[in-house]
Amino acid sequence: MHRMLTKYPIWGGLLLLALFILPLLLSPYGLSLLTQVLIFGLFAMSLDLLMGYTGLVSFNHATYFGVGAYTVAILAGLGLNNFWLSLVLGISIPVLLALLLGLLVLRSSGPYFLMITLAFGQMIFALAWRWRTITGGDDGLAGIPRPDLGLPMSMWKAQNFYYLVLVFFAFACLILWKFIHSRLGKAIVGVRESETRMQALGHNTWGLKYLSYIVAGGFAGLAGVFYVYFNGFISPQELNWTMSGQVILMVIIGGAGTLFGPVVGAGMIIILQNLISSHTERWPISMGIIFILCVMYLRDGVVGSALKLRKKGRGNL
Amino acid sequence: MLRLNEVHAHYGESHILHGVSMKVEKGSVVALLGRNGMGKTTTIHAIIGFNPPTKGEILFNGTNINGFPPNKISRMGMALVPQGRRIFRSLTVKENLILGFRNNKIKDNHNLERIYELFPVLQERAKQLGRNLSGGEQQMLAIARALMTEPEMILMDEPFEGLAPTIIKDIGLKIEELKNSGLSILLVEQNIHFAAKIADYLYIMNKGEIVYGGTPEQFHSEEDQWKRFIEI
Repeated sequence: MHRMLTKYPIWGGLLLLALFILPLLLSPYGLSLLTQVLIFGLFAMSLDLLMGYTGLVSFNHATYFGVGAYTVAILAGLGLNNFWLSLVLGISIPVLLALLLGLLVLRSSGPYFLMITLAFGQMIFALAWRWRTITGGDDGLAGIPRPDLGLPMSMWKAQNFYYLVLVFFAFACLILWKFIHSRLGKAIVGVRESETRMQALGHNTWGLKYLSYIVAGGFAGLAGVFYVYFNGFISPQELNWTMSGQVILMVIIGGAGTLFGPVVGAGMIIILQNLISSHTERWPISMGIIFILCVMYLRDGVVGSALKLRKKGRGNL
Repeated sequence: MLRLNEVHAHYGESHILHGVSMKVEKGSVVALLGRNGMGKTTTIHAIIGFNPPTKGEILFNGTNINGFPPNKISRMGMALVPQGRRIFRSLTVKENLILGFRNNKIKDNHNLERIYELFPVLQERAKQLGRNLSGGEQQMLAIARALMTEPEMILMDEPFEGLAPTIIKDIGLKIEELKNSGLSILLVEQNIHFAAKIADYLYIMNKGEIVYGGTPEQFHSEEDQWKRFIEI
């Protein structure tokens, strides 16, 4: 945190202040959007660890998000509403799944990795769809209560729940920031740049990719936990490839390999989706045009391009 | 220290190395010369494990490392300076160096200090991104990064390729310093004059075979034996 704040003291401080004050200024609808932005921002950051830093485009990231969410929902269905138990299991079950699936999917790379992750993702989606007794099938699981932390404040109040999400979001940012700036994180970037060069330096590159895959799965699970608490409902659609595709877009639009860029990407997609869909039924067309423009003119994403411009500006001074 | 016995290597269906045998004694510099496309880089890749030989033995300190993964070979004390100064362009100079360091028992500062003594320019550029370095600085970084692994032997694949003559001289002096420190070096090179000056033994490769081997003295006196394999 210290390094993060010393590197970006003004921006970091302003952002934290804004995120703290905003709920006091926003309408209930605005606050609901902002809460979603934080949840999906966390989800997108976890994917950025894989896509932007490790160079692995995974098409089953929604699996971990959905499994985290389903874990909480199933526990709630069993009458187990303890937040900390749900949180621990909501992270550790996706981690265990990533431990297992990582062994299989990381046997391939490039487009084959993308295809095999898609295949496994759809297998889990199909399982959730068919395993009606546990997952509720296509009806999903509804009525998941907001967490009870044993504090005097109720999480049913939107503001309180927002602050809870904000605390975990900030904590996740800190851990991910620390991770990517550690020697291990630099080694993961080294793998993205050249796996053979890293092998020649004595690194077990497969192990590094595996670690990254597991960590990313764990944080996606955490995002899933808060998503189901926020939404109160989970269905197999949250495990579907369309969800993985959406989070990939968030990373691309925000800027892969920038960590906070995907949060901006998540914000843009969620806010634009809600904004445009309130004016027209053909909102996906407008979104499509925006995506095309972003890919054509902002190849490094919004944050990536801004950072590039800033560097250029400094170079011209 | 390193011995290749009848090494054959393929790229897919193509048979590239046809029974290469050579050796590098401990603390010596051996140059592998030859025209482009004769199998020099393939030999290096076979040794480091990128393209394991299909037949033959590669003995490193007495262990046959044929089939070992590159990271295991590296951990046994062999380092590679790849062709084309392949540094990690999006990482800083210091981060590039730290990636080479893996002995957690010793503080990495100890190694860094040694490296900075050898290449002071890298200390000046420590916080700069790899992509912002000049060609010569990138080559120094590639060598320094390999040295961070504390190798017993270093494989250098055309370290002077594309560099200005003054930089070649600087890097040449650094390689001589490394040689004097007792490091074993296998140098793949096209610059015959430099190689003959620095190496203790020279091999010439042609169409995937070693066609000549000799000391620098023999090399100078036996020009008729090797010249046709080098001249274009």
